[in-house]
Amino acid sequence: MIFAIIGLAIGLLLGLALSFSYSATFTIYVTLIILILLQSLLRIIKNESMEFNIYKEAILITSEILFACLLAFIGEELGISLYLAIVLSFGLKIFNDFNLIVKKLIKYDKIS
Amino acid sequence: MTKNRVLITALAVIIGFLAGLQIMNDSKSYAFINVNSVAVFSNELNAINNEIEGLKSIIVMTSRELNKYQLSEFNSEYIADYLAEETNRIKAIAGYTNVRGEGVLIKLSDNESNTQRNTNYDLIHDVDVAMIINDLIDSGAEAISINGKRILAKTEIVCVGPLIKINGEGVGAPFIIKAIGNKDLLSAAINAPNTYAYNLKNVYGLGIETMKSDFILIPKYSD
Repeated sequence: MIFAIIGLAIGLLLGLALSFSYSATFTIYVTLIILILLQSLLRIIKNESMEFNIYKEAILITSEILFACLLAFIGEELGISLYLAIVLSFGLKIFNDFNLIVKKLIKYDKIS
Repeated sequence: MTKNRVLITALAVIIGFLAGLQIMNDSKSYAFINVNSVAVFSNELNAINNEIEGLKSIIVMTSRELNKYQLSEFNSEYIADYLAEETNRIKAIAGYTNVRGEGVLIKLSDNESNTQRNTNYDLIHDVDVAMIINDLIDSGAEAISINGKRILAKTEIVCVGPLIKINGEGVGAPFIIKAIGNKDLLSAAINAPNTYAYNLKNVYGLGIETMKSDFILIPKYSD
């Protein structure tokens, strides 16, 4: 948890300091990548007691990102907002994971 | 556990970095659009271009008129003729001349049969007359009068109790409306199904009669 917060702060400072600008067309793709990474982060924090294989995780996350970007691209070509489907599914997952993490923190299941 | 920490930190740094980039990138003034909104915008663009074309043609017409005035500066007789012609044309448009031509006669009268419902449904109101006049204008009427009162651009049709005020004078039912224009089009504006007058006649039972005529005289506006 603490590592996640520290990392977020470092990354945010780095991103704000580097004024690297890109075309507005890529905005939705960057948003999708942020969403997917956030979901992965919460999933790992949720199962912190488990041992994760870094390479397998990297493959999983990369494939998710590629597929989401492909879907968003197809949606944009066809004129339907297909990226909303990805936002919805990952948003739901993020919310579920967040809920579980908070429940674990406050020991929700234990009787007082 | 160290593996997990490395993973978490790396992911957090990447997320923070991307979020920072997204915040710094000034893409707030852009909006994500799809095919539908593109079509809407292109329609809007076409409409505005058409408007510009119309305005340009007005400029051409006005400058032509200006040229005429400048030409006639050298010849004082010519300008007198030109201005007289112009005055006549404007008078005809404004309703200050008698007009003759083909058109329709319409008689609007109250429902005189003894119905048991609200009396308001049996009377011709100012709104009914105004609606019918608008229908006639829409179908190309060039001159209109109601009971001899010429309809001008500034004419009011207002309810004053049992009468209707037109050009500042009270007029009572039945109303005889004369309209000059294409007689078939004008009578269609009154008699075609689902027009305002058709509904008045067939739903409310008011008396509406039309007569096509090849010769109708509409008097000029008099104060």
